[in-house]
Order: sequence, then C-alpha cells, then structure tokens
Amino acid sequence: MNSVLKIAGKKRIVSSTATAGASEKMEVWTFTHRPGGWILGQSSTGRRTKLMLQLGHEGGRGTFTASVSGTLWHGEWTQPDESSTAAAEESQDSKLVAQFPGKVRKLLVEKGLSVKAGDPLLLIEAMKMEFTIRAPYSGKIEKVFVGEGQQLSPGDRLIDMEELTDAAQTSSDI
Amino acid sequence: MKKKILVANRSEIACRVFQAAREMGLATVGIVAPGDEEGRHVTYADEVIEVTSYLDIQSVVAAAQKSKAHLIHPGYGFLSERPAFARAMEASGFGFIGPRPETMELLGGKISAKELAAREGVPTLPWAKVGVGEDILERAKTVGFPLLLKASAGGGGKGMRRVDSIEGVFSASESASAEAMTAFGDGTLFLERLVEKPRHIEVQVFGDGNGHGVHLYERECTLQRRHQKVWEEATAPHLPEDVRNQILEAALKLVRATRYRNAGTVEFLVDSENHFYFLEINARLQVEHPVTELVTGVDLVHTQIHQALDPSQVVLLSSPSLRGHAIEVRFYAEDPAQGFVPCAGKVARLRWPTGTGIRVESGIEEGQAIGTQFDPMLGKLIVSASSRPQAVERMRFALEETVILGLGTNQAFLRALTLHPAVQEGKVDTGFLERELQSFLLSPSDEDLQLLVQCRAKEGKRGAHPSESIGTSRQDAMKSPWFSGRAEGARS
Repeated sequence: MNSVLKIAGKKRIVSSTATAGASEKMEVWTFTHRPGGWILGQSSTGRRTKLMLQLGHEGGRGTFTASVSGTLWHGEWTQPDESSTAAAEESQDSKLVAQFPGKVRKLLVEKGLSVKAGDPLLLIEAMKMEFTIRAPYSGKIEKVFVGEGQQLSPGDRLIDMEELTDAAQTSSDI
Repeated sequence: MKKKILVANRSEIACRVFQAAREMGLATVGIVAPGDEEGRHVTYADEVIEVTSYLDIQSVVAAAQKSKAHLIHPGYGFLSERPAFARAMEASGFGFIGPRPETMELLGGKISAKELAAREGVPTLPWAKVGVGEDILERAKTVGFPLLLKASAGGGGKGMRRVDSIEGVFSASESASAEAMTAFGDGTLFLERLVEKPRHIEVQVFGDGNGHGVHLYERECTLQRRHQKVWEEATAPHLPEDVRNQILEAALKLVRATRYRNAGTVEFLVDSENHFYFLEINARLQVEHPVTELVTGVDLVHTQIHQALDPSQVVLLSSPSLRGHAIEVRFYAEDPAQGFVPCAGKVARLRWPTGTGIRVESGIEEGQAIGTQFDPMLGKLIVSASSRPQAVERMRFALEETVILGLGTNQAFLRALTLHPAVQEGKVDTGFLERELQSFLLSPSDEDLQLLVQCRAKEGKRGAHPSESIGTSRQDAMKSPWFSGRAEGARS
C-alpha cells in the first residue's frame, strides 16, 4: 500500500512494504487516548509524544491531518482503510488508484502479465506533463480498469495487482 | 440605558473590541456580510445586523442607525481608514473611534504625508516628482542612489524600476515613463531612495485630539512575507537608545502637528546604520497592538473607548513604564510552500495553547468553514516574558501546543522561525523571510513518517467502530485545503 504524505503541499510517497523492510531500525509505536483529544504515542525506543489526528475522505481517497509539536501534517493514501479486517487491508495493497485528474496516455500492461516492482504500468497525462505509474511491488496484473484516452478523476481505480510475496514464490518453486 | 458600540469589522478584531466593551459595561453590535455567517464574531455580539459587504459604507451606516449604537469602532482594514466612512458616521451622530476625517485625508495621501513630515523636521526618504520633459538627472542626483523609479499615478508595481547609478537613470526613466503613460495616461514619475535591507519599526501613539499626545514605545515588524507582517514584537531589539528616543520624538511631533485623536501608528524604515525614515501613519488600531499592551500594561481598546465616551478627558497623561518583552505571530490559512496561497477548509479540531504568558486572539471556532473570500488570518498568538530570548522560547512552546486541524496553516513555518538563529538574535531585515524561505519548509523525517503511518493505521481501524472514533465524524471530511483564491480586506 502506498501512502502519500503531503506537508504544505509537498508530497512524499511512503510504501508500507519499504517501511517494513527497514524493520531493524523501525520504531514501533503504541497509542493511547488521553482526555482533551490527545493521542499519546510511546515508541519501542522510549520516545513519547502527543498528537492530534483527524481522519477524513476526499474524492475516494483517505485523508488525515495530524498535529505533532506544532507541525501540521497533511496525508492522503490511495485507499481509505475503513475496515479493520486483515483481508480488507490486503486488498488495498493490490489496487492502484489515480492520485490526480488526468488522462490515460498509454497502457503498458494487460491482464495476467507478471511485473516486477518499479516496472512501468501506464502513462498518465496531467497538467501538460506525463507521469509514469509504476508497479509498487512485484506481482501479477489481475484486472485493468482503464483504457487509453480515458479521463481520470482522483480516486479512480486503475489496475488491480496480485502481490507475489516471498512465501508465494517459495510455494510455487516447490 | 446601556451605551452601545458597533464594531464595523469581523473575526478576531471584532471579538477583541467586544471583550473590551463588555468589560466596560457596553452593549455590543456586530455586523455580518454574506459568506461570513459562521464567523466567530457573530456568536460573540449581543446583537448582529446583516450588511451587504464590510466595505459598503451606506450599508454599515444603516446598520448603525438600526441598532441605535452610540459608538463605532472600525477595527483595522475594511473601512477603518476611509475618511468618507468616518465622516458619514460623524454626520449621522455616531461617535467614531479614531482620528478625525481630515486627519485621515492628510495622512492618507502619500505626498501630503511626506510633506507634513518634512515640515516637522522628521526624516523622510528623499523623493522627487518628475514631469515629462523635466530634468530627471538633476532630481535623481538629489534623491541619491540606489533609487526606485515608479509611476506617480496609480499604485502597485507598474513601471517600478530600481536604478543603482546616474548612468542608469536615463534609459530607465524613458521606459518607465512610457509604461506609465500607457497604463495611467500620465508619464509623471516618482523617485524615491531605496533602503537596502531595512528594518520596519513603528511607534504606537495616542493623541487627545487637542495637540497633546503620548507614545507607547515602538514595535518591530520586520518579518514580513508579501509585504504583510507575520511576526511582531515590542520593543525593538538592538535599537540604540539615542536612535530610539529620536524615533519616538519624531512620532510625537506628527501627533502634535496633526492634533491627532485616538490611537495611531507611525511607521518608519530603519537602515543598517540606524538612520530612520518616516513611511506613513496608520490612522487606526493595528493588528499587532497586543504586544504594546503586554509591555506597557495599557489596554489600548479600553483607552480608545474611554476617549470616545468623553472626548474632553485626557485618557493617557504620560508614557507608561516598560515591562519585559512581547511577541505576536499571525496564523494564516495559507501554504508557505506554494508562495503563501490562501487555503480553504474546515477547522476540524482547534486547541489554542494555555499557560504562563500566553495570550490568544482567536478569529475561529472548531467546526467553522474557512473560505478564501476574506482575509486568511485565523488569529494571533501573543506571548510575553521578562526577556526577549525567553519570549522567543515561549513562542516556540505556544506554537507547539497549538492544534488547528482541517486546513493548511503557516503554523509549522512560524515554529521554524523560532528556531532560526537570525530570529533568535533579532537580526533580520524585511527581505529575510523571502530570501530564507526554503530553510523554513519542512520535510518529514523517517521517524516522523513512521509515527504518522502507524498512528493513522491504528486510528483508521478504530474508526470502523464509531463509538471509538476520535474527533469529529467522518462526514466532516475536509474540502481540499490546497485551494487558492482572493481575499477581501487588505491591511498591514
């Protein structure tokens, strides 16, 4: 799943798989609710911080704003995780969603094709520029929702992918 | 019967005046223009009357008549410095809290104000007006270099040019004059000396209307973006005592000469060698008046109202003594990373800071929708402490304790200011913010991202069970906070 964090208009893409990859250095936070609307975070490395968070929806995307020590963070992610079930979270990982309005210029993959992380999937034209949408992980194209020339709105589903995890690869080797 | 005061303004300044009025036992009347119904001041007033626009003199006068108010407080911006507004109010029998309309007229003209200052021996930046065909080289030499060459008619940046030496005058003046001719039908040019890296220092004054006046010391408002103040303090750091006394005395000369009535601010530019030059007089209460209140102990709005209630009384006999240092920052709904474009959105969560030495002048409430129709200032955070370094630290604390969720603000930018060495030392000039902008824009660190991603994921799951959900409901989804538009009611 890709989260796009945006601060004061600047975007940064965070992939949850990349975060997990850095597991040795990763701080694990636990959160408790405090009176006054504060959320108190305590990390595995001993840090303690209070913050406020607001979740919302916008054009099919999940949004949040968080206030931590005087800094306002505005975040968006490709799919709102409304459900707490693991299945729902997994399915979010397999979808690619339009982030901004635009037009599909070229489709580079089709259903059933296997791709590697970083492979270009399609080209989108927006604001007179061309953007390449790449595979966030290695996997198989499950479904293509868009065609060349199609107009896109933020939140439109583009492609569903089935992720090939290490486990899946191992099992297929056997 | 209780006396009534109508505040011909909106948002935080209307609330500020309502507070003083209620403390003094006056009834309060607010006005509201279309699009501003959710404004905080609408909740705050004893009585609210609709106007067609905050800039419509007739409509505001009609509101005053309908409410049978005794006094009119204009706030800042909008109609506050329009002689026609003050005149209309006085002609209708209302007590206008501010200078006389004639004073506003005199001070409102760029040239008439400069001529007044020159007559009183107050330094102004050398300037000259040059008609078509007149000897510009001679005038330019008298003004000195570098100078700014602009169209005499009209305002804005049209036909504005910087000239560094006598060699550049002729070609610059030819093209500037041609441009002025095309734009305004008048090729007359205005030359003014340009001050490099100036500081903005201003003096709070209060006049009794009969030629007596006092100053309430100076404020420094050098930190500006797009010519609008962001951070203001009292008193000015690193200002030699003799220079400061000269500036205060210069301001008082102008108060006496104009028989100035009520509160006003005399603005100066100060160059790197501490030469000071008169800029203009703001004939009203300033946005940044709280810092002066905190270092002098004088409630300026009370004083304004007292004088208007009894004009024969001298409300301030002498300048008070000073205590400590005060700093104000302005919260704007804007995006510093996008050239400070105004942001719209809904205030999903609001938590102003509390604690020793912290004062808040809020123009917003939780749940309020903020558009881009009006000025993007959301409120002001003011701190006072016994010393300037302590005040800067307190400001950082107060900014860290403030929570405004739901729309983009300059909060993180303001906090970054408190950490910058030049701000901490008080050694800045008016171009500082724009030059150093990049160093105030933050990117999240990996640690920040981990915290945010994990907290968002956890709270997202909680959100599935409404009883555990925090904050306002999901139906309060934000409008895009990164939206630009125009604001009404410019002021400084």
